[in-house]
Amino acid sequence: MTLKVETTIKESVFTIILKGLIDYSTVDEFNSFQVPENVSRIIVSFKEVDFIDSTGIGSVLTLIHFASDHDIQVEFVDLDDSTRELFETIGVFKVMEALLKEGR
Amino acid sequence: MLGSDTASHIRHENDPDYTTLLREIQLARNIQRKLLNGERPPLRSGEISGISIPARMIGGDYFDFYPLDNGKIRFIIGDVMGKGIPAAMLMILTRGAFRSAAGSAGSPGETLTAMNNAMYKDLRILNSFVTVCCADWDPRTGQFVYANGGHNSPILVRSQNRTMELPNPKGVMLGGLSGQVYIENEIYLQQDDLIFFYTDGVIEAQNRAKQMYKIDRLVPLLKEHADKQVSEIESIVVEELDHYTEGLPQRDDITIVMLKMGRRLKIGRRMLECRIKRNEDV
Repeated sequence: MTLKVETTIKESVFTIILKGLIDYSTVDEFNSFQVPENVSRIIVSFKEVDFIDSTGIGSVLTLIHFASDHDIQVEFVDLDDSTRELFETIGVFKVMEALLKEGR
Repeated sequence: MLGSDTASHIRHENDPDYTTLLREIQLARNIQRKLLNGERPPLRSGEISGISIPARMIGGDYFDFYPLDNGKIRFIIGDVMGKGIPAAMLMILTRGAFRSAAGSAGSPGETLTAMNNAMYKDLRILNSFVTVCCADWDPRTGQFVYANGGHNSPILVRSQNRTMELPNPKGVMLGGLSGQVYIENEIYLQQDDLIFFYTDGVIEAQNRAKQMYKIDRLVPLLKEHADKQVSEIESIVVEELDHYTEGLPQRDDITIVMLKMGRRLKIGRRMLECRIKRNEDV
């Protein structure tokens, strides 16, 4: 199984659509996109994600830290119950809350 | 196709760099196995066990036991992001942080705070993280205090055959945020109660139909065999996973840590019963 990453930009909103498996074998694809300059918001859609492992979550975490460093807002959409539960257990939402709401 | 694979294999075997690399991986595997299978703390009552089966030659899962001066045992289970050699290197970093923190921190929560403080910068530079659950168990009284840094909650099987996932204090993974304080939960174990810690590799093991094993299968299995010794339960779970995955290659490291409560000390029993009653909702 593979991962397909589709990106679009509209005004200052950068949208990333993830399709397939995000794990150790496919994560390079997730890490390959470049966030364009002058982006103020990143939306990541997990609607077509079949499975995400810890390596994938590591990339998600890196994106959050990148956004925090560059004062960009991040939103994760279309998470299924198991991905949401995983993010909650590991603490992804707490990291988002702490890093992306401060000073806004 | 077979011919080209074989030729490639032979070419590698004759390559001195390849042979050296293979030897170094083997040595690294031995180091990891020895560190994970270190001496278990002696118990006058109760049982403990731990096993880690890496998906590759070496893995990123970690567990450890650290006897404290007050008679309690502090232990930890952890899962480093990723697999193989990179994860194994971070597992050693995690072990060093735990060993260093366990001797000086006053509680499981403080241990995780100290570990996060020690590892945070390195983990951020490496874009990595570690999930951990740390607990103090007093085999004499049954007191069990735990804190969680992004890991699965342990499963408690009461001796009356009641199973439950322990409430998760939901701390952030190590390497997620700096300066974290980890909340602790406390319960009291009764005789023959079993606590089962595990890493993702257990519940995410897949069969040929790509269905995961999931906690819904694990809990009834534990409930059925909770009256056995922990070494037996360990073998049953590993065999069950092997059977479930139908011989497919293991996708993720599998680690299991168990403790089973023996007889409590009679001293202070009345006080203890009161404390158990207060924690009955857990």
